[in-house]
Amino acid sequence: MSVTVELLVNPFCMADRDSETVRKVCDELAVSCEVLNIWDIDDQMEGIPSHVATLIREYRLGERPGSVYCSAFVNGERLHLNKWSAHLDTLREMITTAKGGALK
Amino acid sequence: MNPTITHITLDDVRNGFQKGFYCCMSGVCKRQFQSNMWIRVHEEVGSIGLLARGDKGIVAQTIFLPKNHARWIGLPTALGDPDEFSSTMSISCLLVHDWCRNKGIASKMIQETIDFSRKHGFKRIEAYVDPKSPEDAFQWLPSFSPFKKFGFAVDGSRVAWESWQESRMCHLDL
Repeated sequence: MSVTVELLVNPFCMADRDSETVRKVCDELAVSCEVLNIWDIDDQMEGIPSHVATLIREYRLGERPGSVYCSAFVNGERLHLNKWSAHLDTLREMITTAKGGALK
Repeated sequence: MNPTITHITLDDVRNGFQKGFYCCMSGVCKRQFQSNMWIRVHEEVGSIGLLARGDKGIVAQTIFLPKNHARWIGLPTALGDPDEFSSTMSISCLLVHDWCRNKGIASKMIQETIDFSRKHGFKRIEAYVDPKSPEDAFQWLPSFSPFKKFGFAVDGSRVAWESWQESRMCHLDL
């Protein structure tokens, strides 16, 4: 089953840690990961997946409380990376489920 | 303890801070996602925050940036008129090491942030806080207590921080 993973980086805080660890999880599970830095994304959001664009828009319009953390998306489902390091286990689980398998 | 409080310099950003602090700015120069942003903000504003240095290294930090940038990257901010975002300073981090708390360090950093913001033409300062006392506040959020001393007011019931439902914004008009 096709699995798409995106990482929306918030460059404020734990961006590099999250980028490294999410990539590592994706490598382990043999899925690719597209990394998007919110600082570099303008309001046109051309080419940005709609679920990512929606989150960015909500933040920028103040429709959603703010965050200093990054977000990962697995087939469009968001995982807020705010529970180190348990969120990595959740990410593995989400990817494995999306691939149609089960965690060993 | 009487730590020295200084502004974070461009050199700090480019070359990294000394080790020993647990938060987001330690080793920032090696962090590809952050360093470019902070250099740009620093060049625009003249500072991105404060460091408190004691005998054993950095004991506290404050990070601030204009609200238009804070909102751009999704940091906690209050609602308000977008035309006023660039004249609002957003305190996006205020952390004091556990063993250095209740010594007035946070208050000194807030005072310096107020002085700097006023001097540079900002009309308002915002910060996200835990309204509870310092002893009961969530580990990664500053307590409202030191802000209250300077006349900051808590903004209504809107949650400030997505990860902490009890968080609130507070502000001070300059």
